[in-house]
Amino acid sequence: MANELYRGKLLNISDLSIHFFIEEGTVHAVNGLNIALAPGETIGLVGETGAGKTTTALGIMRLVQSPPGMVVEGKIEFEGRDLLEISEAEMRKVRGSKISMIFQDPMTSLNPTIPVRDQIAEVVLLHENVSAQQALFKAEEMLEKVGIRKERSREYPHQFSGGMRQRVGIAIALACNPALLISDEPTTALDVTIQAQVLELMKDLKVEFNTAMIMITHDLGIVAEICDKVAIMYAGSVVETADKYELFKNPKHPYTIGLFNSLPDIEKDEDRLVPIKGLMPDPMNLPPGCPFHPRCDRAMPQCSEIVPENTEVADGHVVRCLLYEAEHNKEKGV
Amino acid sequence: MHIFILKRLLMMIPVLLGVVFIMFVISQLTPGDPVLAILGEVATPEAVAALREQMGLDQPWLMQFFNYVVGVVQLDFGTSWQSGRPVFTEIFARFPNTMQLAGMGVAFALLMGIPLGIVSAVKQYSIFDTGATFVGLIGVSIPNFWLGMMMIMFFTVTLGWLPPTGFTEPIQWIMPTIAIGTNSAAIIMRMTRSSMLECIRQDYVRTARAKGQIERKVIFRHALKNALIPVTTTAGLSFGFLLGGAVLTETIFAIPGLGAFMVSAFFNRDWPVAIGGVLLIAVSFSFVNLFVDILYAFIDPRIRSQYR
Repeated sequence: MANELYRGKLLNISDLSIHFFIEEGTVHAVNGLNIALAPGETIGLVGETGAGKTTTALGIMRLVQSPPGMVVEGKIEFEGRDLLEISEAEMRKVRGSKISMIFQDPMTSLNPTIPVRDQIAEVVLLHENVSAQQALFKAEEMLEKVGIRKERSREYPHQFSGGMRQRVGIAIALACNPALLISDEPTTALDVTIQAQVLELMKDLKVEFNTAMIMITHDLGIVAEICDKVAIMYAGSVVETADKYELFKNPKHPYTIGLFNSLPDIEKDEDRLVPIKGLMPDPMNLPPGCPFHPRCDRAMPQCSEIVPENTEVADGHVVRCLLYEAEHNKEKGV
Repeated sequence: MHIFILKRLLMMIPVLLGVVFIMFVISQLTPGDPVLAILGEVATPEAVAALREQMGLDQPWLMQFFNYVVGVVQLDFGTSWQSGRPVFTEIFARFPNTMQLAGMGVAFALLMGIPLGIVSAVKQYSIFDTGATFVGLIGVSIPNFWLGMMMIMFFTVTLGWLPPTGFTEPIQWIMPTIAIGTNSAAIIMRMTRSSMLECIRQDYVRTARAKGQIERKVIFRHALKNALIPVTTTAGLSFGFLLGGAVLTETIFAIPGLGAFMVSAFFNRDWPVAIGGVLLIAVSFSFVNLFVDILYAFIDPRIRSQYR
């Protein structure tokens, strides 16, 4: 059923579950996650800290630290192949060339002992059949593209500011013209003004390279700015996904509504924001039924017992909540 | 960088002056009269006074210190009170052996310690890691003179493979090198392991994997270079430690080195030799440290940009 709803062309993740088996127990980081993405499309993966966004991203790259992490279930179909089935050698050919990733903290994600130019050339040399000289040339070209003069290409990461380093990160990620770019909160560590610049750059380059993108963020403003679709994550699964306009206009899941309520609205004269009560559940000990029910102000008795299914409330708008499941079934006459 | 090296060379001067000064203070505080040690207890007071004047010992010790420093600047380290030969020749006849022994010890330590440390870190908690940790613990714990004697017993007495003494043929280098280098090898292994463990969890290592880089290059190109800085420090310190600690190894394997020579100089209150030897070791140690600092700059560009 779920697979039918999520028929993407480029990437189709279905029922992905990633658990970490540690001494204290099992951490249920990602639980039955579904995401689909067409070529060139951008999806915003939104959720609080600990919702499993980064684990999902690393799962797609097959870079989840193992042990203790393990993909226990699911499929990651990319260009028609299940990435979980292919060999490590084949996966290496995918990483950096077809799927690449921009990391959260530009201060730590570049190697401090290698000039930035060589760090970009490295990925070019790995995936393209070029000489070392050509790879360096390509690296300088990429640097210019992200707005760094090529005179600075021999400098080391510590000689650049955070925003500039993130530009280098973007250059590395886009150097081999990937079909899918995963951006893991690329602007969280940056100043607001620099954030805007970096986002603008990513937006432009995405169009130029026709790259599909998974934008991981907890900032709905970034989603509004850059994404086509949104998937709201809670406790390791997607609770609501829809087209950006549909979701902003017509949020359905109580968690999504809660997220919007906790944002200030410039047009309304509000004294207080309405936060979502409580905290994200401990992924080692998720509540039964719907994981959101302890914090949900519309929780019903059955929410603690039944795990909700995906319900398509409008075209392409899927919610995982019992409120709509019942309604939907009634309409269908089930 | 050149200015940095020049600065560091200039900084050695006060350090070395300090070393000589402390040695002079020690020589003053140590009981026993060198003149009586040379002439014997039955010498006439006139002979003692004459020799004392000849050796310059009738002057105040600060004056002696000053004269010594003036001499050293002209590469005159005085003459041995024991043999009457210049200290410079005496020491340099033996110093190369000690340098070679310490150098080979450090080389052995690096060649053993770094690869084992890397494998231990990459395969953390594996049988190999546990085994290496166990052997490393033994390596740190056993005294080098005991290891030397055990090796002589096994490889010379029982098996008859290796010569027990001497230091001229390469085959004679094997046992002293292992004896003097084992402690440092174990320390360097542990240091490499913990430093690598930290580095392979860094974000930039994840970035390298995300580029599709093969694991071997992820480890050697990205993690190792960053992990080597603390290892370099340890290796530099070990070298100084081995220079000073060569005495026992030299004694066991009958190597004509500086260590054993200096110990006999101390026993005989032959201060020119003792001070000259300590000074030479201090100079070597300073140069090794400078070399280590320069090496940092090659490994880590962040340090390089601080060298002004």
